[in-house]
Amino acid sequence: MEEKIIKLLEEMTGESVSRDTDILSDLGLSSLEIMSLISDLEEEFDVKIKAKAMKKVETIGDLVDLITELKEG
Amino acid sequence: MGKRLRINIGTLNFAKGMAIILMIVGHSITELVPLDQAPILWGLLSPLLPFFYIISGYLFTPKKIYETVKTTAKDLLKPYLIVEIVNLIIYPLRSLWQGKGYLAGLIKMGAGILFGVGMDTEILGISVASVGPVWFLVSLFWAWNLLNLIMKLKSLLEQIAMIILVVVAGYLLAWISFSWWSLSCGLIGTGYLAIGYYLKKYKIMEKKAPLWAIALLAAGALWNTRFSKMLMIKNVYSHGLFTIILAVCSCYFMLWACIYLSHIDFVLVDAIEECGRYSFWILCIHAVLYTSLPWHIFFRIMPNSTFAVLALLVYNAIVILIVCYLLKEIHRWKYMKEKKKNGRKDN
Repeated sequence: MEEKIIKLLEEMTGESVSRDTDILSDLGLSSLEIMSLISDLEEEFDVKIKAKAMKKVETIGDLVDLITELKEG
Repeated sequence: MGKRLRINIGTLNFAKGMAIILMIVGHSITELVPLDQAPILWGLLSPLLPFFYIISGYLFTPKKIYETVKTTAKDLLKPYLIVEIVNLIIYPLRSLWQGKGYLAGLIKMGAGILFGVGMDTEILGISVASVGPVWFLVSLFWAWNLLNLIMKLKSLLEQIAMIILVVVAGYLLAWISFSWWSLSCGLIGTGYLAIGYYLKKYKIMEKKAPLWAIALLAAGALWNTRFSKMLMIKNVYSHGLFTIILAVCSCYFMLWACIYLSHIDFVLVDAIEECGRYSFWILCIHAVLYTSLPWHIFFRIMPNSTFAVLALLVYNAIVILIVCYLLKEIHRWKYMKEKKKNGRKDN
């Protein structure tokens, strides 16, 4: 799953990312790209990522953990 | 004193949600109470636009020039054109319905798209229609690319000096002529965008500010709310260049409030965050509703203006919910189609 998320982000940003990559500081995604990314992740992993869940997310690692948690829960 | 709260996508979603809701409410309320008759309302609403730029600044990261031009054209100009094509289809029909003629409406809206201005006006003797709040996307395109260029300067001092020059140029341009393609707003917006970017880069909102700085900002915010008048799209800056700085004081407290409120576990906070997540779509939908659809009808059919404003808000909410749902379905369909295509390629 982690690899899939990282691959999706790398395709979107054209930059190499890791678990420690800070979404706001390092990636420079636009509002539209963030919205698109979350919708794509919802489709890809068949989960519903509520906006409030994004409060916990700062790095790619946090995003991976959130989706894992949602998948398992 | 507890742990300082951090700014992340959730916080920004809440801030965007608050800003977009206040913008729609503001657009409706000003039909009931004109801004020049309600100075405090004007003072409260005027930092909204700078606030949008500052939040956008949080998402800004310097990149290669070509890459940034390409991305911003795709993410800002393309949606602007899509919204305006919809306006170009609907606006002439509204014009025909109002007895002003289809062709007149078509020319007016066409000129509006060409000049990209956010208010009904006249340019070179041609009647020009407002493109609605999506003029912000055009101005953000200028601001984003200019800031990206400025960030190529190595020294922070040079960057700040250049940002100040650009803001002053935008202010002067607003005085000299009615600028096309929201260029003067874009130049002034570069300053606000830079503030958002530096706030993120140096984690300023996450640090404890000295008391004197808070007092100074509070005085500025109070003055801004009570006495200052700013309306970027109409080039109104009551205190000259100082107006632009005063708005920053209000924005500081708006951002501060958003950071704290967004961390409260409450259903309304969650709803505002959802609005923030789809704020880009909401802005585009509101632009069509505000520019082309005959919402003035509420003021004719409702018993009084207050009911008309309430009806207008409900109407906005219903249309936004339906169109957001449809857009999400379209996005899902496109994603599945792309996935299938890639799957076939992999096989």
